[in-house]
Amino acid sequence: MKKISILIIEDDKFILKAMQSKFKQANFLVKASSSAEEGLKILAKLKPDAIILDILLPGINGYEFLEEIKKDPVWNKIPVIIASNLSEDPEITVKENKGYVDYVVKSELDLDDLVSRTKKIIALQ
Amino acid sequence: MFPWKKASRGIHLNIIFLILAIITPVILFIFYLSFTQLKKAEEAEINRLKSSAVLVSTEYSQIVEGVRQLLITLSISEQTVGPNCSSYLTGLLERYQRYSNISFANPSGDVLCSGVPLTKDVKVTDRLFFKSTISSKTFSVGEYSLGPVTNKPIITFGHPYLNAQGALLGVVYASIDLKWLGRLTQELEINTREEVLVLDWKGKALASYPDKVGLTGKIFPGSLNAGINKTIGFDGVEKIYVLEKIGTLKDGPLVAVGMTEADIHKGANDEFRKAILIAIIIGLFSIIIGYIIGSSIIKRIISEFDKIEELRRSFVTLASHQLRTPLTGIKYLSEILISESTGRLNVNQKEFVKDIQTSTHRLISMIGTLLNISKLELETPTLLIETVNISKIFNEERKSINMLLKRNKISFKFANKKSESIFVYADPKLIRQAVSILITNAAKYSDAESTVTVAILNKKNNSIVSVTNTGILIEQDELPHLFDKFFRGKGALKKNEEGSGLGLYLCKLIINVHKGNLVVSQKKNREITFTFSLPII
Repeated sequence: MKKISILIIEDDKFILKAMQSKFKQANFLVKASSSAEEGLKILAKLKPDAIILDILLPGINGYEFLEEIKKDPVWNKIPVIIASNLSEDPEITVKENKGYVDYVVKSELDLDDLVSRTKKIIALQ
Repeated sequence: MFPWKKASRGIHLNIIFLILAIITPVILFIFYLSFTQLKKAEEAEINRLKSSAVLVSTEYSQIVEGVRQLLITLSISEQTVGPNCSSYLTGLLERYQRYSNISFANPSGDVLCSGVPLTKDVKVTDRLFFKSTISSKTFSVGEYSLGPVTNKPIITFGHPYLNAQGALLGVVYASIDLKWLGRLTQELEINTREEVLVLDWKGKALASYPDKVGLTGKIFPGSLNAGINKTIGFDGVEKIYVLEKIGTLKDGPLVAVGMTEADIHKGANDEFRKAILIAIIIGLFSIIIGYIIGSSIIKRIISEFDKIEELRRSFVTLASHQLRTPLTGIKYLSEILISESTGRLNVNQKEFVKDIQTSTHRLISMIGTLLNISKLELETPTLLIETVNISKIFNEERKSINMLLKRNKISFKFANKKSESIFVYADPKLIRQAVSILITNAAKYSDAESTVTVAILNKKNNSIVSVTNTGILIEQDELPHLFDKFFRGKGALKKNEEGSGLGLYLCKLIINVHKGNLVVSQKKNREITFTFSLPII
């Protein structure tokens, strides 16, 4: 069976390391990047089953990254889970239009929860 | 609502009071000056009336004196009693046009000579001037009448004609045409608001200015006392009249100069009104300008405060985010450690990692509390309102404090039937936080082996929720401060040194933004109950 692939875009190296470790342990194929630009390069080579995206990033931010992938007919079908430490998106009610399927506050969530939520979202696709 | 915004409402009113306090004395002073001017102007008007009366009286005195001189001359002239007396008098009439007739009558009153030719026999026995002259044997004045010869309205003056021995031979008399009197009044150029009357001693009008048709011969209805009288005039209107006698004659004519009080005040009133208008304009102008300036100052102050508040808020948001990131790193990495996916931990290591997790969790939750407070202190916080099953939230949150309950040997019970669901309309995350704060506090501060009781019931349109526990004694003077920011009671400090003093403050904020209310009550047996109400759907 093909492994579920995931792209994590997160600029904090410790969080990235922890996420990577957890998702690998959960048998995901993990691609990690610490910037949105790098994430786009990875996307060009591999279409992941889901993207975990931080908002505050160096260079282009998470929302700008979303704008970019929305333009591509293939990428815009990939479910995006925003994992930020900003309190919930004030415009959370229009998340469909923003191009993401879930918004989580990293500090309020266990890695276990993140993995199970991601699995659920991919299963729904 | 920030306190400075509430305060600014009162300040607007204060500004108006301040302006009023400044301009009221100025306006009162203007009024005082105007009022003094008003009195002065009134006096000036009365004085003018007096001088008009004197002026008119003097003019008429000269006429009367003229008549007297003429009659004295005639009373010693042979020609007055001579055979050609009538033509002599006719000659005089042609020379002095103010006279309507000059005549001579014998002591019986028979008119012997007349400047105006007689068409029939005329007797003047009954006429006042004749009777007065006969009895006083001096220059006398009659009253208004229609001339028996000329049939014109006239006033007649008489003078006795005595012979060398002093015996009365007759009376010379001259009548003045009243129209001529009126003309004289006109020539004096009296103020048009003044009414000038020439009256005979009985009050009959001889002449008037402004000239009124049909007035001549009518009796003046008011008082005839010399001096200033407030009395009714011919037109039935009350006026201030200055009466002045003409000449020194007994029963001689009078001059009355009158003006209505309104007219006397009119000039003065106009000035007074002008002053009041200016005072009102100054007043309104000051209030408007003062209010505009004051308001803009308040606006600037408020906007400065708002900027500071905005800065504080964005600082809290940013700082929270910055703090959360490294904490998340610790949280995630310790989670991986404890899962032992990277290798087994010994008992001590496991315990330490758990301690790291507890501390991390506390820090993260404190940051969440600060962020929520910062958000809810906004004038219009964003709430994500939906239908919330409040009983369910209590059940779920109870599970999260199970460990704490077990450790402190505290039992937890619902006063309601478990199946009962009560729905409110609220932001679920916030309500969950409020519930969590209340039951965590109850579990933390309860006596060992006591019970925490939760009761949820519907009352009218509200859901009433209460959390009761028995534990530390809160002193009476501490109760009102329990919901203050950073407040921690003495009992709480003793029992549990951890705690930010923000929990109950946030809890009240959450309930308040849902238009509900949170209160606390304590019984003597240290049983404390927190009760909040939320509107039901």
